[in-house]
Order: sequence, then structure tokens, then C-alpha cells
Amino acid sequence: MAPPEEHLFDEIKRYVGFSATDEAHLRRVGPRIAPHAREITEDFYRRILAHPNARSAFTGGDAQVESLKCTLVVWMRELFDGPWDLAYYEKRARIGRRHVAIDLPQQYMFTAMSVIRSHLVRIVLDTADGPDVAHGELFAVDRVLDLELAVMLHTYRENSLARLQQSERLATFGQFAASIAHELRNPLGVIESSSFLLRKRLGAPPEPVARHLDKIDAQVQLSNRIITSLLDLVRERPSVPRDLSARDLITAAQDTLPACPAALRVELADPVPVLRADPDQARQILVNLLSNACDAAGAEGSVVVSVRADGDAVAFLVNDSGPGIDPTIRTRLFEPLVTTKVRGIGLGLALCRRLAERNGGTIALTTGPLPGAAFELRLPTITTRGEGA
Amino acid sequence: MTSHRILVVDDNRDLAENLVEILEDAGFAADFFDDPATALHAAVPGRYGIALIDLRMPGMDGVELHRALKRLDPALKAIAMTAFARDERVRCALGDGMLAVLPKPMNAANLIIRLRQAVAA
Repeated sequence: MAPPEEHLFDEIKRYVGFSATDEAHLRRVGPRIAPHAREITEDFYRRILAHPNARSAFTGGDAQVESLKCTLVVWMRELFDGPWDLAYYEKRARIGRRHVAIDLPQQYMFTAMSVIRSHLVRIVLDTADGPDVAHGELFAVDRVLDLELAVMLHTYRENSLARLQQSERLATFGQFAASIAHELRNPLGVIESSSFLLRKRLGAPPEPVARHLDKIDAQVQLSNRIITSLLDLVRERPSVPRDLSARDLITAAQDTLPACPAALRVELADPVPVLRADPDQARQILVNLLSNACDAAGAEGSVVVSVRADGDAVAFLVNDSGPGIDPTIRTRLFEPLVTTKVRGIGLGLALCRRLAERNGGTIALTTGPLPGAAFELRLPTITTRGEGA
Repeated sequence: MTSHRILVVDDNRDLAENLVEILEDAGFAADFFDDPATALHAAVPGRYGIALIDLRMPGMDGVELHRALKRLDPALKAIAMTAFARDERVRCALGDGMLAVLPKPMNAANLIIRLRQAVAA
């Protein structure tokens, strides 16, 4: 029979050489550390918070830090009390995963541990019954802190593996979606050409026949647009940024836009802002936003696009007089396949966000002068490297 | 006299048939094959003026078929069709001297314009 697989924690303990002797030492040291736990904790957080990068991981303010201080006191008690079993490992790993979750960079976790180590070493040396005893106790403290570091690092590794798997899954999904999209173009080609031939064979068909042929053609074109959006979404076409006048960009977007039934007004700041983005991608974002706004506003409604420079970005507000965004989908609005339209498939805004990010920009739901939906697209005035760019 | 007969090769038989019908309507003579090997067999030198070839086909892809056809009949002109605009074969096809690569689904009017240009070229 194969031996049961060794648990990671047992393996680490074996590797560090953590033994029953160490456990006995730690249990003896614990009561001498306890009176200093609060002071060590205060120093620990004072030093961490002195680093702006480390401090930025604590978004919950003083209340969060106070609660973490309590946790650290308990952590230190458990460090010396044990038992150093699998339940101990799980507790420590949970703390590690918390560091990962708040994005605390690994190097701060490491240096923070050395703050604790130096306090513990000092107290052990100050309170030990002679140098021989201190020697053994110091080794025990070193080993248990090494166990802690190994567990913490393992939680960072767990996280990067999970992220890697996630991105591999996305890549596989992307390839899968792309191959389906491509394959669909073949049957669409047959439908389109058959419809073309039918139209020719029929000459001037009676009204219902012509109407159905029109529907077939329109739906073929819609399907082809969906395929194109899907392919745009999954493939990583690199962005090639250029300096663009906001006026030219909006004109280009309007030229591509299918007829807008609503009254469309453009308000440009003076001087006209200049941004830096890939011209095709920036135009595509605006076409999608404008086309959504025009659909939502309808023939009686209106759409306003206003453009202003804002710091190192150019902000485009696209606002319509339509019914606005359903609150139940607000938070998921930019996810693929989420739509408010009866006939939409929900790729437009997902694509807008991907393209905005690829150009170092952002897109968000906001509010505007008109009561309907308002989106703010921000594109940089200088080249920044967005994700995937 | 140079032949203007068009050889249409696409493994999607329905599309190949439709293309021939569209071409015949536009005044061209055309034959279709849904299998590259059979097409190669039929393409005796001088029979066809232009080949319209799908780039992705099972067995022999459009680039290979075009190379084989050119060995048989160096005067043959060719236009490629593809549903995969980013296919590596697009570059090969153009590099091998195919006149154009048309994206699928193809617009019939555009196809006829391209073929007339090819005839005139």
C-alpha cells in the first residue's frame, strides 16, 4: 500500500527540523513573551505603517489596524502555545491568505516578520536562565518563525497558481469562442449568398416575401457583427497609440455609427482636448457607447456627448434621455453577456472596457444632466501601458 | 484565347454551389468542387482562367492547392476566401501571388467586382 501523502506542514516541519524539543522550549518561553506582546505589536504596526506601499494595503483605516493588532497578540500567544498541528497550519494559512487578499506585497510580510523576530530574540536573551538555555530557546524561536514564513509564502504561491489557472481558463475559453465564431461565418456565408440568389430569382417579390428576405439579410449582418465583437473581445490586438484630437475622434465615431434616431449633441471643451490612444480602438469604444445611447433615447429622445480635459486624461461623457440602467445589473454591467437590450447579446460594454483598459483608460457608469444612462470614458493624454497593451 | 472559366473550390458544398450560381448570373462560366484533390484532377492546363479557393479545407489547404494548381498551370490567377482573417495562410496566399483574400461571409457584389478586376489584370 502506498504511504499516505505527507501534509505540506509536516514536510515543512521536517525540513526546518522542528522537533518536540523545540516545542518544549517554546512553551517555556511563551509566558516570558506574553507581558511584552502589546509593545511588540505596537512597534510592528508602527513600522509597517511607516511604509506608504505597505500602508496602502490597509484600506480599513485605524479600526482595521486596531483589530489586526488584537489578532497579532493572539497570533503570538499561539506561536508559543501550539499545538503545532494541522489545525495550527490552517489557522496560519488563513492569516496568510488574508495578506494575499489585501495585496500586501511579500517583502513587507518578510520584513515585518523580522521585526517580530528581533523583539523575541531580545526578550529571550534578557530572560533566559543562562546562555545554554538561551541557545536552545533561540533555535526554537527561529524554527517556529521559519515555519510561519514558509506557510505565509505558501499562501502567496497558492494565490499565484490560482490566478494562473484562471488566466489559462480564460485563454482556453477565448480560443474556444474564437473558433466557434469563425466556424459560424461559413454557414452565414451560405445564408447570405442564398438570400442574394433568392432575391435575384424572385425579381420583384410580393411584399411579405421581400420583408422576410430583408429580415434574413439584417439578421445575417447582425450575426456577423456579433462574431466580430466576440473576436475583438477575445483576441489581444495590441493597441498602437497616437495623438488624437477629441473632435476628430468623435467625428470618426459618428461617421461609423448607424443612423441615430435621437437628437445627438456634441459639446467640446475649448481648446479641443488631445488624447493618446489607438485610433480604431478609441473610435470603437465611442461607437458602442453612442449606439447604446441612441438606442436607449429613441426617436423622441436626445443624446449628449461632452468632452473635457481632466488632469492627465480626456473625459468623454455619453449621456442619454432613455430609461437608464436597471439597478439589478449595474454592478455586472461590464461583464460579457450582460445586456439590457431585448436583442443585444451583451458584448458591447465588455468590449468597451477591455479596449479602454488596453489603452490605459477607464470606463464607468456615472450620472449626467440627462436622466438616462451616463457613461464616462477616460483616455490618457500621455501613453500609459494598460493591461495587455 | 485565354479561358475566363472560374474554378471554385470550397469544402462547404452549399457555399460552392451558391458561388457558381452567383458567378453564372454575372456572366461567368464556373465549376465547383468541394474537395481539393478532385479540383486538382479537373484543372487541366488552360481550362480555367481564375481559381476561387477557400483557404481552410480538410486534406489539402487552399495554399497547398494553389501551389499545386500553379505547377500544373502557371498562367492560372487565383483569389482566396477565408472565414479566418487572421489565419497565417492569408500571408502565405498573398506571398504566393494570389490576387486577393476575401473575408467570409462574402458580399456577392464585391466578389464579382474582384473577379472582373482579375480578368482584366
